[in-house]
Amino acid sequence: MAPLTQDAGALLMVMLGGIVTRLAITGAHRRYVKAGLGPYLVVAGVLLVVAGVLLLLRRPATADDNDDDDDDDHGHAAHDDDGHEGSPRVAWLLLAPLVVLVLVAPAPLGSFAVANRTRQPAASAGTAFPLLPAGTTVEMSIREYAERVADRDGASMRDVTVRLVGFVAPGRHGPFALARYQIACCAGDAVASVADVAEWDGPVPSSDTWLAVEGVLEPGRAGATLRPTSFTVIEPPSDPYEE
Amino acid sequence: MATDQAAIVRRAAERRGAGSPLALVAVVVAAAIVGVALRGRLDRPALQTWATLFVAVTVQAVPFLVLGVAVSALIAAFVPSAFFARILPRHPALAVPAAACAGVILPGCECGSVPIAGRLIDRGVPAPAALTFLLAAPAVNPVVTVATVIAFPGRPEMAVARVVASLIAAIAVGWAWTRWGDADLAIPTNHHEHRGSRLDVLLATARHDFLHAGGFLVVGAAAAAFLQTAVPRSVLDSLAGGWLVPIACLAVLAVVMAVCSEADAFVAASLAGFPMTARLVFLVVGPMVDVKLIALQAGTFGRRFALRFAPLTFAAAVMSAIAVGTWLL
Repeated sequence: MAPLTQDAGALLMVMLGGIVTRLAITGAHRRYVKAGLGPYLVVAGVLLVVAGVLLLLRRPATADDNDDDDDDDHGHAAHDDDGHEGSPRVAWLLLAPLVVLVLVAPAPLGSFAVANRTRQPAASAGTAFPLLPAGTTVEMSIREYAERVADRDGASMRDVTVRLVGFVAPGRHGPFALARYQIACCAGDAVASVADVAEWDGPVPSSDTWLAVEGVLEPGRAGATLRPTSFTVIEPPSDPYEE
Repeated sequence: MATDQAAIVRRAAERRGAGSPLALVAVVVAAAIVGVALRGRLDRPALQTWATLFVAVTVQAVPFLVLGVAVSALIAAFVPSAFFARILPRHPALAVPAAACAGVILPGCECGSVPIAGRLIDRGVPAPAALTFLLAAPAVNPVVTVATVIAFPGRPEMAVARVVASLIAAIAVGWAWTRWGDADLAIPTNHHEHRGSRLDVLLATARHDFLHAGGFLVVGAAAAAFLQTAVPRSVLDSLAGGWLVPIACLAVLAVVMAVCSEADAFVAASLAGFPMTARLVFLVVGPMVDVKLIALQAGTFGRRFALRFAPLTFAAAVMSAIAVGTWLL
């Protein structure tokens, strides 16, 4: 690949800045990174666009050009490779995330990756959860559910109905599980929380279907599972990860 | 006259050439056609997972990268060229720690600090001091430190250990280079700077730094996403036991993965099964020695330099991280 020319480099900055800004403004960045990163992405994207546009507009006036011409005359290949004039060869690779984002727009991490990621919690962290009031329905994150299960096999939610929202993933003991990721910054550091579902009447929903499930805890030899009392198929939430 | 014509011809060729904006757009269009043709076949779960992780690691690094590039460009445009040489102590033994401390102040990731170190040597800063700066700046600057604090919630000692271990390693390498280094070895092989008005310098530096560092960031993100998708958790976890094996494993991983120092704390945080000291080794080695840095250093200072400098730095970083990790974590 030839090194990018200066204009091509500036154009690449405009395109990348534009796509990052759009990603943050539409909220689609929440598929990949923490929601709170949005404003910073907008600032970074706008800065890239402004710098790129200025470079394109001011190009004829820069002294760099003459310099560049002198050097390029007799093909200093090593020189070009290092890209002293702003557009090194390696910059071509910046097209990759651009193309993947525009064409593939990858979905948030789903059921496939659950097996490959660290699970939350690895062991009971020693937290003793207070008993939930009997007979109530409590909505909680799958992370909290998994932590409560790790704490004395779910003793703190024995007499309540819990409501969980997550996607369908392969189960460890039971027909399937509900799972959800927690991220600290981006999907690269995602940690999975899993709630195993027991005793499912009817066809098992296909992987990555999002469900809201109400159920009660059922102690079991292999570990506590959730016996569903009702469930609804829901649209994937715009915030796919838990904090 | 002849050169004028040559310039005009070349500029015209540049507009249509293999690196021109037209070529850039052509590649995007071609990718779009291929993408549409493949649509439906690309939703293999493994490929989707790779794509998600690749985009995630890249996107989260963008604000950090832009901040680093902006500051580096502002320095290039507004800090006088002799400034650093003037404020550094003359004696190399003192200049080395001073340069390490200068690294604490300047944000930027490792890709940016290689050309800066080249520029410093060019301006008469002693090579050991410039090399210490090269090692310290990407590892201990405020942006990286804040990222480390965020990546390890409730474990601020990780960021402290990282700063301390990195400073020790950088200063040790600087002093070793003062004592045994070949003075002629660390001479930038090619070097010139952007000229023109301050705005021109600012913009040209920003473009160079962003495209250069960004390109290497993409390499790191692709490799990291591949490792996270392809290597089953059980394999990595099986290497997480014991003392020496996880340290060796993550030291090598840091060199191979080549994650930008502004993002590597989040990768280290995801390696949850590994002992903290091994993860500290990952954070100290990564910004100082990795495949993209070795390539950058060989490009800036020559291959002979890189062959000596990289192993020396690797050894210093690993030992310093083990010592500090055992003490602090």
